[in-house]
Amino acid sequence: MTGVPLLDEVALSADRCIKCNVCNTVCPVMPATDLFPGPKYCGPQAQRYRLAGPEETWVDYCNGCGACTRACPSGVKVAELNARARAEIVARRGLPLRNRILGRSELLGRLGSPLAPLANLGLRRPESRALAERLLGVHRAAPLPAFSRVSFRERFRRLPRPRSPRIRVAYFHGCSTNFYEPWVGEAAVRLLERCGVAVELPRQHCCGLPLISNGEFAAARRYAERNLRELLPAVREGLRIVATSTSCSYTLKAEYREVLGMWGPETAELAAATYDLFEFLREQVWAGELEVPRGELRRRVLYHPPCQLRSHGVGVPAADFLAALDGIELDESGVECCGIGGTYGMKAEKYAISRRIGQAVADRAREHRAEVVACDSETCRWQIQHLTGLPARHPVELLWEAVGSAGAGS
Amino acid sequence: MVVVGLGLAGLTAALAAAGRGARVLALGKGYGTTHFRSGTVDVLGYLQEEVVGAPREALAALAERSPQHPYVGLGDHLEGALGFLRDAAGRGGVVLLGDLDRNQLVATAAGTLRPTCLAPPSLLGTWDGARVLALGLGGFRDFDPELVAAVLPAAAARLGLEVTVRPARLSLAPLARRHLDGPALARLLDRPSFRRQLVEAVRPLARECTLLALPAVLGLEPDTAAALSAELGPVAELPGLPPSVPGMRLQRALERALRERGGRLQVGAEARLECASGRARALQLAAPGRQLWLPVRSVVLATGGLASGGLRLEPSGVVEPVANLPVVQPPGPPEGWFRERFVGDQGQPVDLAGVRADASMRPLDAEGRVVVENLFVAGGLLAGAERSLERSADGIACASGYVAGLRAAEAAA
Repeated sequence: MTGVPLLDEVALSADRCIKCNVCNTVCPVMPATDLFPGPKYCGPQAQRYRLAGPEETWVDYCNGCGACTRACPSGVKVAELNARARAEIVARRGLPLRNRILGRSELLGRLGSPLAPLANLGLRRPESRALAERLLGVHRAAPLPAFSRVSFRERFRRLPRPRSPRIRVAYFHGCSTNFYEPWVGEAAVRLLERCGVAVELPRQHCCGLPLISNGEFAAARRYAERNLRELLPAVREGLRIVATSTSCSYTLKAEYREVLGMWGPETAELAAATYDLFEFLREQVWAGELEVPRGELRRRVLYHPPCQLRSHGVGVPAADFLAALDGIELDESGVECCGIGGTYGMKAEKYAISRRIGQAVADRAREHRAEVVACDSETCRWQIQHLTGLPARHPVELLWEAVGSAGAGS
Repeated sequence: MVVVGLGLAGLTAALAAAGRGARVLALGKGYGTTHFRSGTVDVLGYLQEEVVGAPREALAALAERSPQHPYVGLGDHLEGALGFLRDAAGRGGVVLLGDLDRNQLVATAAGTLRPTCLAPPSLLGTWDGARVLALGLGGFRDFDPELVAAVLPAAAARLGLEVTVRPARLSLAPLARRHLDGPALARLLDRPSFRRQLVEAVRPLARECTLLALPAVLGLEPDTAAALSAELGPVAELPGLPPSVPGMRLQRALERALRERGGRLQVGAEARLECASGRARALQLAAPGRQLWLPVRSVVLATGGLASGGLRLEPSGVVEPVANLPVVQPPGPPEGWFRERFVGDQGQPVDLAGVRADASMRPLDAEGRVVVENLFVAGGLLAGAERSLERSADGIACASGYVAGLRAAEAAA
């Protein structure tokens, strides 16, 4: 019913489970609630009974961080199995209106942006938030972003372009940069311009991740198909798809295939061409095409690599670029997950769990006496800002702040 | 430089290299042995079915008996490596007691007593003459005090020790949870408020005993067991089924020490090594979408033995899948590589397979020539040991990891 192949390599990976419980030891949700029995039970163990129909609903308490899949020594795709199990439940039982709304970030952005002042007022006022909690189940204190009046795509036209670019890339901005935080995209485009990289902006849609994590696979698949149509021409011209949101880029790289089960050659082509911004810059440095951009940032920064970035398997390239700045006091969080899980922590019944998970990041920020927290995924930044009271910025914002002020030609 | 493998060998290698100023990345396919083993360091527990009292003496006898054993080349480094590991764990907050002159006894949740070289104080107890209270915790099913009471006295008697055990089980409201596994219990015990509650409930039960035996779940924080012992007198953790809480404590301590030395960790990366003209050039990492090429100056391979996937059994024999290194095959024809009893007192001949290395831990081919100049091997991958019979896995991992890490740091400089 979810359109996922019954016996593909992800489904079959459940058979490799040796019940060692390593996944349970890294799961950030298990310590935070008794409602989630852990990735082992929900994943490979329950999988054996699912052909008979899903009866359990604990899997809905998985926040999709993927720590289990990464830690499994036997190659079981635990988080992917869980995401599919949730979709199966949604397909059979339907979905609350709240989840349908939270899953549609592009639609929300299109509706909210033109009405930004009004919409933001609604998002800020306690009365309307209390109402949203009662009617929809969106927790009144949950971190929600504010709409930007001017979208990133509109701002993009006014951004500088390199005179003699070494290389061209296509930028995947994602919904958040386009509708809420256009300055992230601006910093990325300006930094790339400084590095001699020309940025093109193909038409694009929501990557589909919020729909995937809310179990709406059919709708997510429609976004995937539209993105393939819009992005593959650029890929076939030899352009890389470079993204600043490590959640969106992970969806393009992995989840169309491993979660939605779209195993065709087109998703493979897109995945092979998709890069996180800093992964791309590091590749340029390794190839001898680029000097590491230099600058000064006199700040105490805690870097929290989002769980989605960890699943990229590329390490933490942003940390390398930040560490190269003069004056920075940089430390890494070493914490598995901030707890937000995309839209997970916004839901009334999961808000408290999400806070408990994220407390470790807040503790680390305090220990490091951080003035700012850097993190590559948007919902994580909103959560960290909410939990710490500190500004949370995309690493490219900090890097551009340092490099941009260092002046041209340096 | 890059270390492939996140077990004891890999982490020791990474720490040794980071201590020499190398920029280290330690990566692995997932978490392994540290989460399965009991957080002790076994150097040599048995030799020809006899319990080893003093590893230092027994190692000399072992070298005479098995000239191909990894300890033969590593002998001079073992003591230094153990000291290094003890310091590194200590910096991460975990104390390891012991030395090569005397093995210590650790009791297990199965009621057996086994020898080990280094162990955290919470796993050690004064067993001879002990009146033990074995205490189960609520619904935690991986520790059965009745089993301990049934087995431990006889196991102790075989070693000439006198131990009596009284079983009991504690029911406290916070223990009545639906999903009570080792780490969940450990996190509960890390809370001072729950510890106070536990101490009050245990005190009346523990009056007559000299030693309180509990499942090995006394905190993920390194000082929780000591805090309990300060209130309740001598306490021993009895390790049991995975996931191993003392193993996780050791792994976390070593990871913490590595981070402090500027090392990086990456979990969830499966690697292949690309070599050209006798040198390792790059690691090819399986990442979503495409392969990732990681340029390397030197590499330590600490991917483990057959059970960890560091060695694989193919129709052609035992192979090493990451760098396709030459593998010393098990003795005799393949029909004899496995004995019928999976766990027995004779072991499995297939365990002897592995990679042979020179004194710098560089892999060798059948003619004894170095295969790859800047590649070093450590741990379960090494040929010539019957680790489960000898109880020697940790000592080999520690010593070979230490040497491999130092040499790899030199090669990367």
